[in-house]
Amino acid sequence: MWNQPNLSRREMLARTGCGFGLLGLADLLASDSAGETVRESDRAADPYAVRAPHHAPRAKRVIFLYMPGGPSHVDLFDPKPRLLKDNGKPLPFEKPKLERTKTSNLLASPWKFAKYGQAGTEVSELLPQVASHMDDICVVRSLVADNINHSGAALQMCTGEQAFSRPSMGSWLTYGLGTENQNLPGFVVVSPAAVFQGAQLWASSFLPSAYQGTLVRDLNNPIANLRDPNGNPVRQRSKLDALRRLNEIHRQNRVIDGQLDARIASFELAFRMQREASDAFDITHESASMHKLYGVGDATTDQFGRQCLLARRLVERGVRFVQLFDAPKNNAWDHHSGLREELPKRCAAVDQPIAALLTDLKARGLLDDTLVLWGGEFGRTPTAEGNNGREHHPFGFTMWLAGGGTRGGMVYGATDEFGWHAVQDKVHVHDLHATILHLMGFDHEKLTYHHSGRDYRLTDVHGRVIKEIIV
Amino acid sequence: MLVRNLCLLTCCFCWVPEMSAEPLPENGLILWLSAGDANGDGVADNVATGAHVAKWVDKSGLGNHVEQKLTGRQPTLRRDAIGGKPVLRFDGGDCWELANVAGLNVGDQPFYAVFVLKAAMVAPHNNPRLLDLRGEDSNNKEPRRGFWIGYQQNGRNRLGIAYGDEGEATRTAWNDKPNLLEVSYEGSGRWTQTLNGEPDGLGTFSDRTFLGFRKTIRLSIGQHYGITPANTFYRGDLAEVLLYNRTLVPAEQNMMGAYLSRKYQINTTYGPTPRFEKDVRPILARRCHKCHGGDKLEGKLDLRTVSDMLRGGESGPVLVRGHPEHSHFLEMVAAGEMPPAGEKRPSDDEIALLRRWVKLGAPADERIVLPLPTALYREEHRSHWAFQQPASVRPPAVRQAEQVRTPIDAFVLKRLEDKGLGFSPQASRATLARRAWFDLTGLPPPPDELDAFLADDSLDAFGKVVDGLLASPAYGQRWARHWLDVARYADYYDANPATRVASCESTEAWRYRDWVVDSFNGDLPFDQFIVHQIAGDLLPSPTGDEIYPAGLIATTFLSNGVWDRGDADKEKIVSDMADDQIDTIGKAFLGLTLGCARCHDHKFDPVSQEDYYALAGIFYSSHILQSLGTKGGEYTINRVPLVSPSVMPNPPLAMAVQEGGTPGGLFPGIQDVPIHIRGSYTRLGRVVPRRLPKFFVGDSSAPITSGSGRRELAAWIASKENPLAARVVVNRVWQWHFGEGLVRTPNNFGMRSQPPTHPALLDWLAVRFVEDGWSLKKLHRRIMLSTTYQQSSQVSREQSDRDPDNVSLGRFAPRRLEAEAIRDAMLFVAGRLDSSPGGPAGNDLNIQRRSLYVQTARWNRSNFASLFDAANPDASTAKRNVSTVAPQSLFLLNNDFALAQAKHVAERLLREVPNDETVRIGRAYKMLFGRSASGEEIEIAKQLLAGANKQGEQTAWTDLAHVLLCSNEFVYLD
Repeated sequence: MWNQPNLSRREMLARTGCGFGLLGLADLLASDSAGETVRESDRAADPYAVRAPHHAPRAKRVIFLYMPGGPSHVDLFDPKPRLLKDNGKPLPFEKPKLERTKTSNLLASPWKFAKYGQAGTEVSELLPQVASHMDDICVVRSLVADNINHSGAALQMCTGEQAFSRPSMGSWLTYGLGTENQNLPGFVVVSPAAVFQGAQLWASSFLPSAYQGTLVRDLNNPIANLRDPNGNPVRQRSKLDALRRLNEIHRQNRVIDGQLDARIASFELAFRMQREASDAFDITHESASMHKLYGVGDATTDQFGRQCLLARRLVERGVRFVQLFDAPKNNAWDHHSGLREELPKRCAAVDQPIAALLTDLKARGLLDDTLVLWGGEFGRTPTAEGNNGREHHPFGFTMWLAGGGTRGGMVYGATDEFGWHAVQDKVHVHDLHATILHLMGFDHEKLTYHHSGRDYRLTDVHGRVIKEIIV
Repeated sequence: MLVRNLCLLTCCFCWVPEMSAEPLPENGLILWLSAGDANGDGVADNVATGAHVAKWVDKSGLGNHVEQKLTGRQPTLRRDAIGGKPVLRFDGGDCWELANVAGLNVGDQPFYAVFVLKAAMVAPHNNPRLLDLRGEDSNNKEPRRGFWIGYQQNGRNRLGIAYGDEGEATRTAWNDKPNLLEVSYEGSGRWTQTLNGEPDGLGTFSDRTFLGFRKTIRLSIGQHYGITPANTFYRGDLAEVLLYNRTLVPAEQNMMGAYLSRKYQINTTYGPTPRFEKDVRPILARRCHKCHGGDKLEGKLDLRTVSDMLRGGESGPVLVRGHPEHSHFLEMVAAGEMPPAGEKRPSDDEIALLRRWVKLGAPADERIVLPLPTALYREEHRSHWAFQQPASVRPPAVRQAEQVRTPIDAFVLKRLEDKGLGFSPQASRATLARRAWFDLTGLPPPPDELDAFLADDSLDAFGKVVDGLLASPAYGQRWARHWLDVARYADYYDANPATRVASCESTEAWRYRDWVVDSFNGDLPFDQFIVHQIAGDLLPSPTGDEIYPAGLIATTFLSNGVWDRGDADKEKIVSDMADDQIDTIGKAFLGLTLGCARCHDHKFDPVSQEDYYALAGIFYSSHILQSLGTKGGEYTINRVPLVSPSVMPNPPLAMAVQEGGTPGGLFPGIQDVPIHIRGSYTRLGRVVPRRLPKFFVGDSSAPITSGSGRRELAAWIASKENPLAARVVVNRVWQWHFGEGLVRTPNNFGMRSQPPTHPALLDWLAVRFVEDGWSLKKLHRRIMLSTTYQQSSQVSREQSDRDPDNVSLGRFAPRRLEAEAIRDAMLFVAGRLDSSPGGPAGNDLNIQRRSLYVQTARWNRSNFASLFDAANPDASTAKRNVSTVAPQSLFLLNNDFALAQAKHVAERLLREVPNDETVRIGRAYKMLFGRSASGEEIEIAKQLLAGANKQGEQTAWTDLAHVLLCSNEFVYLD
C-alpha cells in the first residue's frame, strides 16, 4: 500500500469530475504518496488526505493518556525496597545541580506493590485494575527528560523541545499520515481543565495550522460550530446547493482551481461532519454496560471514564491521535504535598477507565494497531518535599506503552535502588518519540519539514528507536 | 622528560593549609584605617583604653585622614577588643568626617569597602550608618550621587544609593559579634555583599539608580555626612576600614580576607590562595597527566597548563575561571568519573583544593594564550548575493516598451520576454479597486467610492485611489498586522495559564501594536522604525522631555517574546530570552537565522558561535524582567512609566527594555558573556566581547564598551553599510502586495535562501527605498502604479501551465484573504464595523472592532484567527500558510458571528434598497464583490429566495446573504 504510484490531485479531480462531491475521501486519497514526495501545495489544498508512511506501520493510531503534573513513579510502577529500608535517611549521594526546591530525606512509598500477570510486573496497590492488564503493558522505568519545570518538561514530552515553539507529536503524525476519517479532526485533545502550557502542547507550530490538535474542553459541546443553530438540515442543504452552483460559476476561468475546489469540497465535508462528528463524540450512543465498564456515572471515575470512552469511539472511527489530559484541574498529578491523600484519588479516578479502555480495545481487535501511552512530563523525587509530598523529577521516571506493536508483560530499563537516576537502558524523551514514530511507520530522521532555512524533525538531532520493546 | 621530572619533584608533596602571611592587595586601595595604628606611623599605638581619638590616619598613602574636632563626638579606643587587637568604639553619638575623599573615579564607577567591626543592633527606629559617601551639591539638586552603608532594619547590612535604591544582605552582620563585612559596587547598578567570606546578597539597582560620583565626594564614618538625622549614629566597634576604588577579583578578595581574618582571629572561609604551579599542577600531574599530558592526549585534552585547560579538548573548554560548577574537569573528578575506574583518585582534600583554586579564578603565573578562531568565512560567503551591497542598476531595455509604466515593469517584462512570455492584460477597474482596497486597508471598497473611481476617467484616477487609501487610518491598521506577524506579537506575553490575566489591559503589549499602526500611518522612515524597536529606550525624546514614550513602547518588540517559562531554572530563562531576541532580530531585520549559531558555528552562514555570544552579551546586558523572581516563583515583566511618577501618580506603563542585565540573574549589570558550550548555560567557555557580527563589520571592528550595545547594533542594522535590511523590507512589502516575495524565503536571505527571482529589481527597489528616506508609502505607490501590479489574475490554462508558480510575474496571483480581512469584511458589509483605533484588545470575537483589536493569546489557538491561518505568535512568521479545512466551513455555516453578519446584511438590503428582488441582489453583489451580478447568478439567488420565502422575507434574505458570505468570491481576491 505504501509503494503505490503517485497520483496527483489534479488527476484525481479529473477522474472524479465535479470535485469531491459526496465520495469518501479516505478511499479516494488512500493512494496518495508518502512523506516528502507530497507536493506542499497539494498538501495545503487537502491537508488530511491519507498518506503512506516510510515502512509498514505496527500502529495506526495513538491514544496518549497524559497525567499532567508528573505522576510518582516510586509510588506506582517502580517499587524501591531500599526506600523502605532507608526511610527518613538522607539520599546517600549528591543530588544533581538542577533542583527545583530542596527536598529532604528519602520517603518510602506508603503503598504496597504486588506482582501481576505471567511476567510478574510489580504495580502499586493504587492501580489494581490497570495491574490486571500487565501482560499487555510494557513498563519503561528509565525515562529521562531535561527540564525540571512543568512548562518546559511538558513541552518536551509533547513537542520534543523545552523552550521554543515546535510541532507536537500529534501534529507530526497527522502531517505525515493524514487522517482516515475526513469527517473528523485527525488529532483530538481532550482536557476538561486548562493545562499548564496550553495550546503549545498540541500546537502545529510552523506546520500548517490544519495539523494542530482540536481541543475538546466541554464533552457536551465537543467541536465548535458543529450544530446548525437553525436545526433545519433541509434549508441548510438548499443553501449549500446554491453555494455550490455560485462557486462553480466563480471557478470558471480561474487558475487556482485546486484551492477553490478544495473549498467547495470543505463545505460538503462540513455538512456531513455535523452529523457524523456529533455522533462520534456522543457517548450516549454507548450501551449501559459500556458506561459501567468505563465507570461513567460513578462520581469517582465519571470524567476520565467519559474521556476514555470517547477516545475509543474516536480511534474506532479513524482519528489518528487522541491525547487525554486527566485534568479535573490544572496539574492534577503535581503532588508537592498531600501525596498520601491526593495520589490515591487520582489513581482511583483513572484506574478503572484505563483498564476499561484496554479491555475494550482488545475486545474489538483495536489494541493490535492502537498504541496506548501512559505518563506525564516527569516523575517525582524519591525524597520528601515537606513530610507528605514529592518534587519534580526528570532524572528517571516511568511511562508505559500498550498495544500497537509493543511487547506486553515487559519491564524495560531501571532506575538506581533509590529510584533517582535512570541507570539501565536509559530512554530519553527523544528516544520515546523516535520509537513512537517508528511504530507508526516513520523513520524519525526522515519525517522532516523545511522551515526557516533547515529541516526540522520531532527528535531534533537525537533519538534512538527502542527496538527491544517492539514485538 | 619534563613531565617525569615534575612527578619526581612533587611526589611527596602534600598540601597543608599553611597560615603563611597573605599580603593585603594595595592596588586601588584609597582608604585604610586601622584602629591599632590610628596615627598611621606603622607601629602599634600605645594609647590607653578610653582615650578619645581625634584623627584616624589613612595608611593608603592618599591622605584620606578622617577627623572629629568635637570631643563629644570622638570615638574612644578600646584595647584587646577583637582578636586581641584594639578597636575604636562609637557610643552612638560619634563620627568622623572628610570633606573630599581622594582617589574615587568620577562617574558610575566601582568601589569596594571592607570593615572589621562589632556592630550593635540598636532600637528598630534607629537606622545607623557605617560609611557615607556624598556627592550631591549643596542644594541637593542632583541626588543619587553617593552611597551609604548601614542598616535599616533586622540588622541586615544595606548598601543604599543616596536618595535612591537600596540593596540588603541576606544575613545579619549587625549582631554584637566580630565580623568581616565587605560591600562591593561594581558599576552599572550591580552590588554584592560578603560576610565572613560567604556571599551575602547581590543585586542590581534598576529603578532609582546611581548617577555617578562627582569630583567632590564627602565621606563620613559612623553617621551621615553633616549629621542628619541624629538617630543614625553608629553604635559599636570598628577595627579596620578599607576602601578600594575598584572591585577585587576572587583571588585578591581571598588575600585581603585571609589577611584580616588572621589579624583579627575572625572565623571566615578565607585561607591561603592555592596557585597553579605550586599547588594544583602536582595533583593533575599525579592523577591526570598520564592520559591528558605529554605524549598521550585523550580527547585531545591537555591538562598541563591553564591555557590548555581553557582551550579544552574535543568536548570544549574544561575550566571556567571562578566557576567550579561549570568547570568540566572538576565535575568529572568530583563525580568520580575521572580518573577512570582502576586509577587512583585524588583525595577529598585534593578535590577541595582544586575547587577552591577554580573558585578563586584559577590564579597562575603563566601568560594565558588562547588560540585564534578558525577561519569560518569562505569564498562562497563573500560572493553570496545577499551579502553584497545592493547595486545601483538601470532598468533594462525591453521590446514592448509601451507596457512599462514604472521601472519595475522594465525588470519584470525583461524576464518575461526572455522566456517568451508577456504581461497579462490589465485587470478590470472593478477588480483593481477591490484589489487595492483589500491590499491597503483590508476592507472591500464602499460602493459609493467604487462608483466614483469607476466614473473617474482621468489618467491618474487609480493613483488618486492609492493616495487616498494610503492616507486613511485603515492603512496602518492593515499593514501593522503584517509587521506584527514578523514581530511574533501577542496581546499576552505569557503562555502559562497560571499567570495569564483575564483582561488584556493587564499587559501593555497593545501600546506597541498601536505604535506600529501609528508608525505606518505616519510613514515613520523604516530605518527609524528598526532603531526604535531595538534601542528606542536609549533614544532622546524629540521634544526634549525626560521620557520618550514612543521609544520605550517600541522596545516591546524585544520583550513580547517567547522563552522558557521555567519557574525553577532561572538561569535558563535569561539565555532563552536573549535567544528569542537574537533570533527575532535576525529574521525580522536581517533575514538571517542567527539563532542557529547558539550551539555551534552556523552550518551555512558566516556567523560563528563567537558572533552569537558577542550579540548575546548585548541582550544579556539588557533586561525585560524586573527580576527573575525566586526559585519556584514567578518572574515579573518590566513595566516602565511613560510619564514621570512625580507628575502622574499612576502613570501609563510600557513593557519596555532597560539597560543592565536581568536583576537576580547570572549576568547582572552590563557585561560580556562567555560562549555557552553547545548552547547550555551550564557549560561556559571563554568570554567574548560584545560586538557586531564580524563577517559584516570586519574582524578589526571595535568591541562595544559602553552601554549594552543595542544602540550600536540598531544603528548598524539600519545603516546603508548593512546590505541586508533594505532588501529584506522591500521584499516583505513586495510579498504582502503579491502573495510571494521576490525572495520566497523572506526571513532567510542566507546561503540556504531561495535566490531572488528578480535580483536586479530587488536591488533597484532597495536602493530607491533608501534614497527615498526609507519611506514605505512611496514604495507602495511605486509598486501599485506598475503594470506588473495591475495585471489580471484570470489567465488561460496554457499561460498558467508555462509558469505554474508565477515565478516570472506574468499575472497577478489570486489569493485567499487573511483571517482578519475575512472577519473585517463581513462586519463591514454588514454595516457593523467599528473602526475606532487603538487601546487594549477585546477578547470576544463578537465585538465589532477590527480584528487587529481582537486578542491574540499564545495559550489559546482555538479561535477564529488560528482557524483561518493567522500567524502563530510563538515565533516570527514571515508568510502565513493557507489551509482549507472543514472546520472553517463549519464556522462560516454555524457560528453565531457569521449568522449575525448575514442577518445584518439582509437587514441592510431590505432597509436601504427598494423592494425589487433583482435590484437588491445587484446591490448585494456590489457590496460584497464590487461588481454587478450576472443573469445566471440572479436566477440562482431568486430560486433560493423563493424556497425560503415562506419563512419570511427577512429569513430568505438572510439565507442569501449567508450563502454569499460563504462563497469563494467573498474570501478570494483576484
